[in-house]
Amino acid sequence: MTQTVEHNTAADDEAGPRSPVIGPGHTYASVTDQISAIVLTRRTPKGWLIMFGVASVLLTIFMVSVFELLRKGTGVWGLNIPVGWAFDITNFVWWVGIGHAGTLISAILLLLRQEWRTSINRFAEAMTLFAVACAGMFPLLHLGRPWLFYWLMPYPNVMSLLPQFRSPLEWDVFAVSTYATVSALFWYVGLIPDLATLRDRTRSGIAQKVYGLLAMGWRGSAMHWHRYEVAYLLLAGLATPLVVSVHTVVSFDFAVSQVPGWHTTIFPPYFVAGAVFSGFAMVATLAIPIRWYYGLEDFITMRHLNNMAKVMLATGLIVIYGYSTEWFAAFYSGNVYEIAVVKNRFFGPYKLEYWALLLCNGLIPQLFWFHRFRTSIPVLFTVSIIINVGMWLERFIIIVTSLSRDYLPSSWDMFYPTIWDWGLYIGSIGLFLWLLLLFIRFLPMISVFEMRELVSRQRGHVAEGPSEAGGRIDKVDGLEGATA
Amino acid sequence: MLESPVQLTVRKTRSAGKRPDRALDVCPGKHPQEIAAGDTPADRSPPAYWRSLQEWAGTEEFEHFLHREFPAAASEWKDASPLSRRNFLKVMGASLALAGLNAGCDIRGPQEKIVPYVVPPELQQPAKTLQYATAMPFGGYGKGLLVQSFAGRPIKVEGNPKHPGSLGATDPFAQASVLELYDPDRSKTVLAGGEVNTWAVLLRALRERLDAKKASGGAGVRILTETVTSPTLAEQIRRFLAQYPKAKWHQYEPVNRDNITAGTMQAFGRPLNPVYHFGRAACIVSLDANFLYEDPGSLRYARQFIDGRRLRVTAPESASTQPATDEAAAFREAPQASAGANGGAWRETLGEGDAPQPAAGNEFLSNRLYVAESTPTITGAMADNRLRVPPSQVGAVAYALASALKVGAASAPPPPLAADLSRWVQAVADDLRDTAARHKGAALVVAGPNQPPSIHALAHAINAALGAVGVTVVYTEPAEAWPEPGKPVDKLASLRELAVDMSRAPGEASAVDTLIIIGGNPAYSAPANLDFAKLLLDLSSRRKGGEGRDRDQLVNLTVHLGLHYDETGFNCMWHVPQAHYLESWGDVRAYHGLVSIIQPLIQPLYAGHTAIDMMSALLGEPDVSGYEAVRRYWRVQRQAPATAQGTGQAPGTGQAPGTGQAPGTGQAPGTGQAPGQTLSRQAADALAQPDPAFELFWERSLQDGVVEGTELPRVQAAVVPNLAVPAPSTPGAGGLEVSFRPDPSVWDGRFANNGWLQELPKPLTKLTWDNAVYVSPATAQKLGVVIGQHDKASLVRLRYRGRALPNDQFPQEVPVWVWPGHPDGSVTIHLGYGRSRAGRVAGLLGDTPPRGFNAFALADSDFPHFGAGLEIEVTGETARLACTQDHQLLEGRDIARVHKVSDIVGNAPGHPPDKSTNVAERGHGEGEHVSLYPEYDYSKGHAWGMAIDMNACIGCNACTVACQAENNIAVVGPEQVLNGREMHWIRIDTYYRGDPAGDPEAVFQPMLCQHCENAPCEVVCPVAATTHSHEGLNEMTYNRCVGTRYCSNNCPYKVRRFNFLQYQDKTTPVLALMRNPSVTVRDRGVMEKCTYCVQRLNGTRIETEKLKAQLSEATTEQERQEKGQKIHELMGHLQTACQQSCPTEAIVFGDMNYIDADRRKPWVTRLKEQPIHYGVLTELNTQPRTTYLPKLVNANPAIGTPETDAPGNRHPSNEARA
Repeated sequence: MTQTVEHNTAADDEAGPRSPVIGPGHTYASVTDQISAIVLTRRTPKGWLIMFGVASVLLTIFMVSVFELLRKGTGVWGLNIPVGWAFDITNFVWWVGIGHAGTLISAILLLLRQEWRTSINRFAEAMTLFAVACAGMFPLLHLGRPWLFYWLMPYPNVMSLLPQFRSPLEWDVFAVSTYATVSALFWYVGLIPDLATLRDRTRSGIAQKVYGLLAMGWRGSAMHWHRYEVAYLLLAGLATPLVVSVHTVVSFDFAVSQVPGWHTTIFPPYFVAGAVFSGFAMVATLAIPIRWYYGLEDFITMRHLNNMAKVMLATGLIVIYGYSTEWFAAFYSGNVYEIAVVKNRFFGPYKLEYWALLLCNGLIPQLFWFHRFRTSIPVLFTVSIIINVGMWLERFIIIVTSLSRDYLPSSWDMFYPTIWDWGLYIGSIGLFLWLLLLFIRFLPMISVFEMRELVSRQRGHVAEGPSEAGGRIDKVDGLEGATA
Repeated sequence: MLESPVQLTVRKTRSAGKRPDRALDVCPGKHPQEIAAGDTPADRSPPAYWRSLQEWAGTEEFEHFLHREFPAAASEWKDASPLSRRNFLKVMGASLALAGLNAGCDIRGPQEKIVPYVVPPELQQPAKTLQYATAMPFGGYGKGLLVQSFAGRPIKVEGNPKHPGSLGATDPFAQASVLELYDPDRSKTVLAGGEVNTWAVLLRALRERLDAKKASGGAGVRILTETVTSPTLAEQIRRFLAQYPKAKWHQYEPVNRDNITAGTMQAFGRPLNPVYHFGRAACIVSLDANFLYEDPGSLRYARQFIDGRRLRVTAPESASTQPATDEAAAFREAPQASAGANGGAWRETLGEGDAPQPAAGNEFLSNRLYVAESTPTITGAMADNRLRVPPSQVGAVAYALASALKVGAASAPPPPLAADLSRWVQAVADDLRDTAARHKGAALVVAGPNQPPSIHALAHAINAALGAVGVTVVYTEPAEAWPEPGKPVDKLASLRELAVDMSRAPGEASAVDTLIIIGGNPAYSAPANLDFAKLLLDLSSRRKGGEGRDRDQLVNLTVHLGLHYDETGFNCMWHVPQAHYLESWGDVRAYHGLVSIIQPLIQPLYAGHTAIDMMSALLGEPDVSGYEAVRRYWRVQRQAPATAQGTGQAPGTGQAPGTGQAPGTGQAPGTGQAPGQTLSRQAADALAQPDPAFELFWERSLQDGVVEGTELPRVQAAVVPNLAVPAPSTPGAGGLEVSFRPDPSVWDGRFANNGWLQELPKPLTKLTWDNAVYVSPATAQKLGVVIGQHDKASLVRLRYRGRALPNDQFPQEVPVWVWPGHPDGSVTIHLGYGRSRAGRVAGLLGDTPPRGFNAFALADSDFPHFGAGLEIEVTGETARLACTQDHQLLEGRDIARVHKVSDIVGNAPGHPPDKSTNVAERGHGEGEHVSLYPEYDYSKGHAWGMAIDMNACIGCNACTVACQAENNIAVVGPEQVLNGREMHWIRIDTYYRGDPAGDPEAVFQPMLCQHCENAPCEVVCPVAATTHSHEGLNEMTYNRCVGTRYCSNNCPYKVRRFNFLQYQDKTTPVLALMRNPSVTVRDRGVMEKCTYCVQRLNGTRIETEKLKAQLSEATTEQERQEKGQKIHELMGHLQTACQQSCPTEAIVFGDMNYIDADRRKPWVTRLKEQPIHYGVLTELNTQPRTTYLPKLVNANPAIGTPETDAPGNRHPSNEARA
């Protein structure tokens, strides 16, 4: 471990745009060895076991919370009239937002030929998938009668009744399920060459069978690679609009309603930016400890972290712009209800949460203007966690403060979370971690074949000089298949 | 025994009043082994068997048998450990079984009748509701009701339009009495010493005791009743007193009208019953009188009061025919009551002649109400000018008023008043004098029952001086029955006397050894210094020669008849379950004496007995049922005039039976009869003869719900010439003044176990489930308690006249609640809480901690209503109280509008008065509708709509409970209310305008589903569970709802209610009887809301469609006319539950497309055409079908205009938007 840390200091010094996205001295074999070893040969590390234990405890909390919820009803939460949504939809939006980074990194950066994405995309995609799984849980569980969730699907039934397509919740059903499907496909398709590598490298019969099954007979032939490339690009193309659409549709849940504080045209872009903001923060939050623990500093380099910090800074600024638009629009409109919402957020009963949100999302990320902070691991890690908290608070503030004080003062009331609100929230983090840990343990968390591609490109880079850095290197030529 | 609950309702009561034949009922559920257990010859016929078992019932074998039959349950009753719910139900089932056993099959068990009726019950059809007229006794006085019965069980209470004290309206208590009937915690069996016993054993014990007392003339025998106006019961008690001359009749009622009676004694030298005509009063002064809510005549008074200030809807044809006559003359000739005016959507205002008529056709004349009060009430909220003063200061205000009006009674110089107070008094006096002079006595001063008699005497003197007597106030003979006619019973003095006698050693002259408590709960509601509960327990448990455990060793006999095994029942030797009024035969007088027959809607669920049954037993006629007793009384009464002819009484006085005698005249029925004797042979023979005339009278009385001609005769009373009321003295210094008032929801504690009333937000404070020490913001600041924090209340300790709360019995500290508009320097405490043996709702020792704290534990019998010297010690701890409206300021929003009357008067309708009230210019109301979709054409078929007149809404909450009863709305409990999850479909939003710490004005806004044509809830529901009907209803399909709550979030009115948990109690069998079968019972996870009582609309639609079909097939003109008229009748009587219960007709509902037989637009449409009419939040383009008329304030400019232009009434956004 010491060795890698030393090794890393060299990389730390260079985090500029031309700095390498893979540590020096790597060959195809070393890349493959190092990544697949985590799955295949290394003993399950103690740290992983401890973390898995923690995640399992949290998952148990999740299951107990769900059980209690189903047994007694939505009333176990702190919801009331007027606050009909609180932690449930806050968590939903938060998790969906987190899911955004994965698709953005994988699809949009792929299309934009941002090669630095390679080492984090697999990982980010998995994160997306698990975050969407967590997110999808909440709209189901928040129903008063969750066992009837399928009524939201347009399916032929004896009631001859379709869902009500004017409702943004109905749009959500399609947006989120499409997103989940495409994300899962994208992730799985990207995994296939690596699954083949694992199949070929494993010594365990069962693992060989499982990986073999999952690899779908991948042999690395040119035809395979060709089809893979086409499929992957197509999926990337499909996923790209989804990045924008999903959170736009999620924001419609609010923007289409007429609740003061929800009914705002800025919501779609502001929600997408917020989603990317929180998504990148979550990638950073997870990548930093994993990179350190598994010694992957060569693959997830300072350049990655630096870039992620820049994305966070940029999207954070958009989010701040969103906030200020709300303030401006409220006062400019002269609408008493909108003005009251803004005043209520600043000075009302939830003012602490609001000021905390402004601090977390507005002020603290401004540290990323400075190269020093962008390349400081502790600062990055801390700030990314703060952003996660801030983004959760943002959704909470939007939902709860708007609902708790809307049109008629007679109906104003407060929301206080109960132990089951917290249980389900913390439990959902447990579910996420649990899935993520399993992923880390059983699947290559960094795309092996794409890293090999990078090695190839790195070689080209060294041989042919910087001018060729962006040049396309044919995968089929550059690699001898997955069985190398 | 409860698996087929419907069978509990077998007794069929009919409007015709045929006595249900109990003997026909079989005895089910009695198994052979039970007979064997009693070692009874098996061949005995059932009646003989039961009779003999009852005879044996007191024996050891019987006790043994009971315990063997239900060993677990029988022992559990004695167990002090908390009962689990499960066990409780088990035990409850057991006790039901026992009740059946005891009472000789009054409760039917599982019985199957497969043979159809030989004689079908009259009018009874399956799945059809019928209405029966009855009356609810409340505080002794009756409220006329029509009760809906479905399949033999009462499910909903409505007002009786033919009853002048109801006019078709109800109050929350009457509405909630259905739940009281079905309360699972009601006592279910006769108990002796807390153990199951029988009525028969009690009868034997009573008989033995009374026979032994015969010689001494009943010395030591006491009867304790509540206020009695029932002629039958009064006659029975008097007959008993005649048999036992040394026995005594005590009365106690914690919330009583003694001060009113005593006031008339002072002013007129004799007890009288003042009856007011608020509709004829143009200027009204209330001296702490909450006449809109707390008076036996409140329902009528509220209607009259509002009619005197209602914005008269333009009806040019009727207005022009209204002769501009001398108003006062018109008043005097005004009809007594416009009974039957409750004609649904077509109701006009109550008897046009009943209110001061404007001289010109359309001019709006509003009365003016001044209220000087010590506790904010709904009457105070309706005041045009309100004065908040500590309770002791009300007297000073009254005296100053009398002085200013130069009323002779106030001869001494008035006590000095603060400058603003005397200015107020002067302005009020001027207004009173002017109004009385201009409108010939159309002024009125009313004093509240908590104020001392001298204040009442002053009020009478002022009224007399103003010439108001005979115009706005008339006097009748008192309605209450007393042991000696003309000698009013002071309830507290009566109880005190009883308490003193109870504490005497046995053998002393007036020591009590037999106490029969008929109704009431004095062990709880007696002021603490009497220590009545302990006296009662001592009396009940005094034993022969020390510490014997045998019941036979007891020397005293104490019996309690009550609905619940409550504090009093617990402290008595015997407890008898009382029959609820919906299970009873009886009679009762209304506020002005009119008698209603109480007829049962269902056979007693728990073998209860009525007060009349109890008196029959005491009289030695236990076989005379309540039905017979009442009928016999009225039959004798009707024969009385005929008898009287022979005895020299002037014949043909025109007095209908009952009116000739005030109930207190002490005359036994049948004038020729010696009191105390049972009926003479001749009379008995006469009664045995059928009397067709009486049967006709009886049927009509039952059908109408009133006994015609029984109003008490008016008395031309003159104020005592030398009446001189001493100037009120100032209260002793030290401490705060405390005022004890009945709770607006649970009253004196009698409704404490009623979940509907417990959860009913109290007017103004919006508190539920608790009482508190109410203080003004200024006093709160002085005390240093929490102000204005969400639900939070400081906990304090109280000390008052040597007593303290918390104390040994009530260890909880008490909360302080800040009440805007409360007078500074005094506190108010509501009675009725802190019950230790009420039930699982309000508190049950060992099971449920009491809700709230017991104000009676602090009260003093010398100062029952208010007094000085309360000390408050703030503990620094806080508690949370369940308040349904945390925020009562309008925040500058144009939601609840208030206009000045001066802005309206003089402006012809159709021409809005000025810019500030011009709806169109403010960007509201029926402005342009913007929609991407084409407008739906509602002009065909029905178009339902509602208009709510905030000027008429007095905030009494009747609509809220009526809706709860009609629509099976669940009670959620205090914790859920604290969470903001109350389920009421209609709520009374209460906003304060002006300085909350000073003299804020309150405005009530009933808020229910607005049935927006452009409903925000509908578009956001993903499963189309809430949709729009072609008649303009916003409909909720419960079965389709998955519970996203998005609709509620998007509802700007927040009228949707969500079943966050399983709120409906579906396991308690008796509650299943209560539910309205036409309304779905909602389960957890489902959204619900007001439906405009769609079940009623559909019921009417079905009937009218049928008639329309018949109409089209009709051949003759007469048939056509008949059918057409029936359709109009049906449509005219269509009312929502809230509308029907509303005493002031503030809620008007109807089909906006409907044109009635007289080619008139419906009332609702005419209201909606008013220029000041508006919709709430119409700027959101919701196009609500429920719209509002603003509150109108007619303040005296000499006192200072109230803040009609306060921020609450303007809407800055509109100016900006425009």
